Amino acid sequence: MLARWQGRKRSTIATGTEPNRSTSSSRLFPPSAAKIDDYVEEHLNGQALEAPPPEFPITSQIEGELRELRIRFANTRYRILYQRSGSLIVLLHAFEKNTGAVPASEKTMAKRRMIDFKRRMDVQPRTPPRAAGKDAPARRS
Amino acid sequence: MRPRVVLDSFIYMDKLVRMNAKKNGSVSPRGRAVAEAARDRARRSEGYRGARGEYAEIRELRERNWIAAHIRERRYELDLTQREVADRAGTSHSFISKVEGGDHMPTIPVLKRILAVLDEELLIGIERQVPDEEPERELAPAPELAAA
Repeated sequence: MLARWQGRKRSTIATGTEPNRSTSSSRLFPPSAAKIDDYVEEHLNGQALEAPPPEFPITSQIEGELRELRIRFANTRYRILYQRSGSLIVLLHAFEKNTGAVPASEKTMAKRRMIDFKRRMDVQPRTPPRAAGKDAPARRS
Repeated sequence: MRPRVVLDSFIYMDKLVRMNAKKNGSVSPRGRAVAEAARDRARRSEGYRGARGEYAEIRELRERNWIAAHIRERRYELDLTQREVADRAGTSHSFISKVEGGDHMPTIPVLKRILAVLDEELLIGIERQVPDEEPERELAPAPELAAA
Protein backbone atom coordinates (compact mmCIF):
# COMPACT_ATOMS: atom_id res chain seq x y z
CA MET A 1 0.00 0.00 0.00
CA LEU A 2 2.68 2.46 1.00
CA ALA A 3 4.68 1.93 -2.16
CA ARG A 4 1.88 3.53 -4.10
CA TRP A 5 2.53 6.73 -2.17
CA GLN A 6 6.21 6.93 -2.79
CA GLY A 7 6.12 8.25 -6.33
CA ARG A 8 8.20 11.24 -7.27
CA LYS A 9 5.23 13.55 -7.40
CA ARG A 10 3.28 15.00 -4.57
CA SER A 11 -0.33 14.08 -4.26
CA THR A 12 -3.04 15.95 -2.52
CA ILE A 13 -5.56 14.39 -0.21
CA ALA A 14 -8.32 15.90 1.83
CA THR A 15 -9.07 15.07 5.40
CA GLY A 16 -11.93 16.77 7.19
CA THR A 17 -15.17 18.24 5.98
CA GLU A 18 -16.21 20.04 2.86
CA PRO A 19 -15.72 23.81 2.57
CA ASN A 20 -17.92 26.19 4.49
CA ARG A 21 -18.96 24.09 7.45
CA SER A 22 -21.43 26.74 8.62
CA THR A 23 -23.73 25.76 5.77
CA SER A 24 -22.59 22.16 5.50
CA SER A 25 -26.13 20.97 4.78
CA SER A 26 -26.14 22.87 1.48
CA ARG A 27 -23.65 22.04 -1.26
CA LEU A 28 -21.06 24.56 -2.32
CA PHE A 29 -21.98 26.57 -5.43
CA PRO A 30 -20.69 24.25 -8.22
CA PRO A 31 -18.58 26.88 -10.06
CA SER A 32 -16.88 27.80 -6.75
CA ALA A 33 -16.14 24.15 -6.11
CA ALA A 34 -14.79 23.86 -9.66
CA LYS A 35 -12.44 26.78 -9.15
CA ILE A 36 -11.20 25.42 -5.83
CA ASP A 37 -10.54 21.99 -7.36
CA ASP A 38 -8.83 23.61 -10.33
CA TYR A 39 -6.56 25.57 -7.98
CA VAL A 40 -5.65 22.50 -5.97
CA GLU A 41 -4.88 20.60 -9.15
CA GLU A 42 -2.84 23.39 -10.72
CA HIS A 43 -0.89 24.62 -7.72
CA LEU A 44 -0.63 21.75 -5.24
CA ASN A 45 -1.21 18.42 -6.94
CA GLY A 46 1.48 16.67 -8.92
CA GLN A 47 4.24 19.17 -8.19
CA ALA A 48 7.75 17.83 -7.89
CA LEU A 49 8.63 16.77 -4.34
CA GLU A 50 11.46 19.26 -4.05
CA ALA A 51 9.50 22.18 -5.52
CA PRO A 52 9.03 25.14 -3.17
CA PRO A 53 5.47 26.01 -2.17
CA PRO A 54 3.65 28.29 -4.65
CA GLU A 55 4.35 31.93 -3.92
CA PHE A 56 2.01 34.57 -2.56
CA PRO A 57 -0.78 35.31 -3.51
CA ILE A 58 -1.43 31.64 -4.40
CA THR A 59 -0.36 30.35 -1.01
CA SER A 60 1.04 31.87 2.14
CA GLN A 61 2.45 30.61 5.39
CA ILE A 62 0.12 30.59 8.38
CA GLU A 63 2.16 29.14 11.19
CA GLY A 64 5.08 26.76 11.12
CA GLU A 65 4.40 24.18 8.41
CA LEU A 66 0.74 25.12 8.16
CA ARG A 67 0.02 26.99 4.93
CA GLU A 68 -3.06 28.38 3.23
CA LEU A 69 -4.18 28.15 -0.39
CA ARG A 70 -5.92 31.38 -1.34
CA ILE A 71 -8.79 31.26 -3.80
CA ARG A 72 -11.17 34.02 -4.82
CA PHE A 73 -14.37 33.34 -6.70
CA ALA A 74 -16.00 36.62 -7.81
CA ASN A 75 -15.92 38.51 -4.49
CA THR A 76 -15.87 35.52 -2.17
CA ARG A 77 -12.57 34.52 -0.62
CA TYR A 78 -11.93 30.88 0.18
CA ARG A 79 -9.05 29.54 2.18
CA ILE A 80 -7.77 25.98 2.40
CA LEU A 81 -5.42 25.25 5.24
CA TYR A 82 -2.98 22.50 4.36
CA GLN A 83 0.23 20.93 5.46
CA ARG A 84 2.78 18.69 3.83
CA SER A 85 3.38 15.26 5.17
CA GLY A 86 6.07 13.48 3.21
CA SER A 87 4.89 13.09 -0.37
CA LEU A 88 1.35 14.06 0.57
CA ILE A 89 -0.29 17.41 0.84
CA VAL A 90 -3.02 17.12 3.40
CA LEU A 91 -5.93 19.51 3.00
CA LEU A 92 -7.09 20.06 6.54
CA HIS A 93 -9.75 22.69 6.56
CA ALA A 94 -11.56 24.89 4.08
CA PHE A 95 -13.66 27.92 4.86
CA GLU A 96 -14.93 31.20 3.54
CA LYS A 97 -12.83 34.09 4.76
CA ASN A 98 -14.87 37.06 5.90
CA THR A 99 -12.45 38.64 8.35
CA GLY A 100 -9.07 40.34 8.16
CA ALA A 101 -6.83 37.64 9.58
CA VAL A 102 -7.42 33.89 9.60
CA PRO A 103 -9.39 33.32 12.83
CA ALA A 104 -7.61 31.34 15.55
CA SER A 105 -10.53 28.88 15.68
CA GLU A 106 -9.95 27.89 12.04
CA LYS A 107 -6.23 27.37 12.69
CA THR A 108 -7.01 25.28 15.74
CA MET A 109 -9.36 23.13 13.66
CA ALA A 110 -6.63 22.54 11.07
CA LYS A 111 -4.03 21.71 13.69
CA ARG A 112 -6.36 19.27 15.41
CA ARG A 113 -7.01 17.51 12.13
CA MET A 114 -3.29 17.27 11.40
CA ILE A 115 -2.78 15.58 14.76
CA ASP A 116 -5.68 13.24 14.01
CA PHE A 117 -4.28 12.51 10.55
CA LYS A 118 -0.81 11.72 11.91
CA ARG A 119 -2.29 9.49 14.59
CA ARG A 120 -4.21 7.51 11.96
CA MET A 121 -1.20 7.33 9.65
CA ASP A 122 0.97 5.92 12.40
CA VAL A 123 -1.41 3.12 13.32
CA GLN A 124 0.02 -0.28 12.44
CA PRO A 125 -2.31 -2.46 10.40
CA ARG A 126 -4.13 -4.84 12.69
CA THR A 127 -3.48 -8.55 12.14
CA PRO A 128 -6.77 -10.40 12.29
CA PRO A 129 -6.97 -13.31 14.75
CA ARG A 130 -6.47 -16.72 13.22
CA ALA A 131 -9.60 -18.42 12.16
CA ALA A 132 -10.69 -21.25 14.38
CA GLY A 133 -12.06 -23.53 11.64
CA LYS A 134 -9.71 -25.42 9.37
CA ASP A 135 -6.74 -23.39 10.63
CA ALA A 136 -7.27 -24.54 14.18
CA PRO A 137 -4.71 -27.05 15.52
CA ALA A 138 -5.80 -30.63 15.28
CA ARG A 139 -7.71 -31.77 18.31
CA ARG A 140 -5.94 -34.27 20.48
CA SER A 141 -7.99 -37.39 20.69
CA MET B 1 0.48 7.61 -10.73
CA ARG B 2 -2.44 9.02 -8.77
CA PRO B 3 -3.18 7.20 -5.53
CA ARG B 4 -6.64 5.79 -4.97
CA VAL B 5 -7.87 5.88 -1.44
CA VAL B 6 -11.16 6.20 0.31
CA LEU B 7 -12.26 8.17 3.31
CA ASP B 8 -12.86 6.11 6.42
CA SER B 9 -13.88 8.92 8.69
CA PHE B 10 -14.00 12.65 8.87
CA ILE B 11 -14.18 15.14 11.64
CA TYR B 12 -17.33 17.16 11.95
CA MET B 13 -17.65 19.68 14.75
CA ASP B 14 -14.65 18.02 16.38
CA LYS B 15 -16.26 14.60 16.43
CA LEU B 16 -14.91 11.70 14.48
CA VAL B 17 -17.65 10.41 12.18
CA ARG B 18 -17.31 6.97 10.64
CA MET B 19 -17.87 6.79 6.92
CA ASN B 20 -19.23 3.75 5.16
CA ALA B 21 -16.39 1.71 3.81
CA LYS B 22 -16.48 0.87 0.12
CA LYS B 23 -18.09 -2.38 -0.93
CA ASN B 24 -14.75 -4.05 -1.59
CA GLY B 25 -13.73 -3.24 1.96
CA SER B 26 -10.66 -1.14 1.16
CA VAL B 27 -10.38 1.56 3.79
CA SER B 28 -7.50 3.93 4.13
CA PRO B 29 -6.74 5.97 7.21
CA ARG B 30 -5.10 8.59 5.08
CA GLY B 31 -8.04 10.34 3.53
CA ARG B 32 -9.37 10.71 0.06
CA ALA B 33 -7.50 11.87 -3.02
CA VAL B 34 -8.68 15.26 -4.19
CA ALA B 35 -8.77 14.04 -7.79
CA GLU B 36 -11.17 11.29 -6.81
CA ALA B 37 -13.46 13.66 -4.93
CA ALA B 38 -13.43 15.94 -7.98
CA ARG B 39 -14.43 13.03 -10.22
CA ASP B 40 -17.38 12.33 -7.92
CA ARG B 41 -18.44 15.94 -8.01
CA ALA B 42 -18.22 15.93 -11.80
CA ARG B 43 -20.43 12.85 -11.95
CA ARG B 44 -23.02 14.42 -9.68
CA SER B 45 -23.28 17.96 -10.99
CA GLU B 46 -23.64 19.30 -14.47
CA GLY B 47 -22.93 22.83 -13.23
CA TYR B 48 -19.63 21.61 -11.85
CA ARG B 49 -18.66 19.87 -15.11
CA GLY B 50 -19.40 23.03 -17.07
CA ALA B 51 -17.37 25.17 -14.71
CA ARG B 52 -14.39 22.77 -14.82
CA GLY B 53 -14.47 23.02 -18.61
CA GLU B 54 -14.58 26.80 -18.44
CA TYR B 55 -11.59 26.94 -16.08
CA ALA B 56 -9.62 24.52 -18.22
CA GLU B 57 -10.13 26.81 -21.22
CA ILE B 58 -9.24 29.88 -19.18
CA ARG B 59 -6.05 28.18 -18.01
CA GLU B 60 -5.08 27.44 -21.60
CA LEU B 61 -5.88 31.00 -22.64
CA ARG B 62 -3.75 32.37 -19.82
CA GLU B 63 -0.66 30.87 -21.43
CA ARG B 64 -1.26 32.96 -24.54
CA ASN B 65 -2.79 36.13 -23.18
CA TRP B 66 -3.36 36.59 -19.48
CA ILE B 67 -5.37 39.81 -19.87
CA ALA B 68 -7.89 38.00 -22.06
CA ALA B 69 -7.97 35.12 -19.59
CA HIS B 70 -8.47 37.49 -16.69
CA ILE B 71 -11.39 39.29 -18.34
CA ARG B 72 -13.05 36.01 -19.27
CA GLU B 73 -12.61 34.56 -15.79
CA ARG B 74 -13.84 37.65 -13.98
CA ARG B 75 -16.85 38.06 -16.29
CA TYR B 76 -17.73 34.39 -15.84
CA GLU B 77 -17.53 34.63 -12.05
CA LEU B 78 -19.60 37.81 -11.88
CA ASP B 79 -22.13 36.09 -14.16
CA LEU B 80 -22.21 38.85 -16.78
CA THR B 81 -22.73 38.34 -20.49
CA GLN B 82 -20.39 39.81 -23.08
CA ARG B 83 -23.22 42.11 -24.13
CA GLU B 84 -23.74 43.41 -20.59
CA VAL B 85 -20.05 44.16 -20.21
CA ALA B 86 -19.95 45.81 -23.64
CA ASP B 87 -22.97 48.01 -22.94
CA ARG B 88 -21.61 49.23 -19.64
CA ALA B 89 -18.10 49.77 -21.03
CA GLY B 90 -19.40 51.53 -24.14
CA THR B 91 -18.08 49.01 -26.69
CA SER B 92 -19.69 46.25 -28.73
CA HIS B 93 -20.12 42.65 -27.67
CA SER B 94 -18.19 41.49 -30.71
CA PHE B 95 -15.25 43.57 -29.50
CA ILE B 96 -15.41 41.95 -26.04
CA SER B 97 -15.59 38.58 -27.77
CA LYS B 98 -12.43 39.31 -29.76
CA VAL B 99 -10.61 40.53 -26.65
CA GLU B 100 -11.58 37.37 -24.76
CA GLY B 101 -10.50 35.29 -27.71
CA GLY B 102 -7.00 36.52 -27.00
CA ASP B 103 -6.22 37.80 -30.47
CA HIS B 104 -7.18 41.39 -29.88
CA MET B 105 -5.58 43.82 -27.43
CA PRO B 106 -7.79 46.71 -26.34
CA THR B 107 -6.35 50.20 -25.95
CA ILE B 108 -5.55 51.34 -22.44
CA PRO B 109 -8.65 53.56 -22.03
CA VAL B 110 -10.97 50.79 -23.25
CA LEU B 111 -9.30 48.19 -21.04
CA LYS B 112 -9.69 50.59 -18.14
CA ARG B 113 -13.43 50.86 -18.84
CA ILE B 114 -13.87 47.09 -19.23
CA LEU B 115 -12.11 46.48 -15.92
CA ALA B 116 -14.21 49.18 -14.24
CA VAL B 117 -17.32 47.22 -15.24
CA LEU B 118 -15.72 44.15 -13.64
CA ASP B 119 -15.17 46.18 -10.47
CA GLU B 120 -11.42 46.43 -10.91
CA GLU B 121 -8.89 49.11 -11.69
CA LEU B 122 -6.17 49.06 -14.32
CA LEU B 123 -2.67 49.80 -13.06
CA ILE B 124 0.30 50.17 -15.33
CA GLY B 125 3.72 48.99 -14.30
CA ILE B 126 7.06 50.03 -15.71
CA GLU B 127 10.33 48.23 -15.03
CA ARG B 128 13.91 49.37 -15.57
CA GLN B 129 16.88 47.03 -15.46
CA VAL B 130 19.65 48.20 -13.13
CA PRO B 131 23.01 46.41 -13.33
CA ASP B 132 23.75 44.22 -10.28
CA GLU B 133 20.52 45.24 -8.57
CA GLU B 134 16.85 44.37 -8.44
CA PRO B 135 14.98 46.00 -11.34
CA GLU B 136 13.36 49.33 -10.48
CA ARG B 137 9.60 49.28 -10.76
CA GLU B 138 6.89 51.90 -10.94
CA LEU B 139 3.22 51.06 -10.66
CA ALA B 140 0.44 53.60 -11.04
CA PRO B 141 -3.24 53.82 -12.04
CA ALA B 142 -3.74 54.15 -15.80
CA PRO B 143 -4.28 57.83 -16.62
CA GLU B 144 -7.73 59.24 -17.35
CA LEU B 145 -8.20 60.30 -20.94
CA ALA B 146 -11.17 62.55 -21.46
CA ALA B 147 -11.31 61.94 -25.21
CA ALA B 148 -11.04 58.16 -25.09
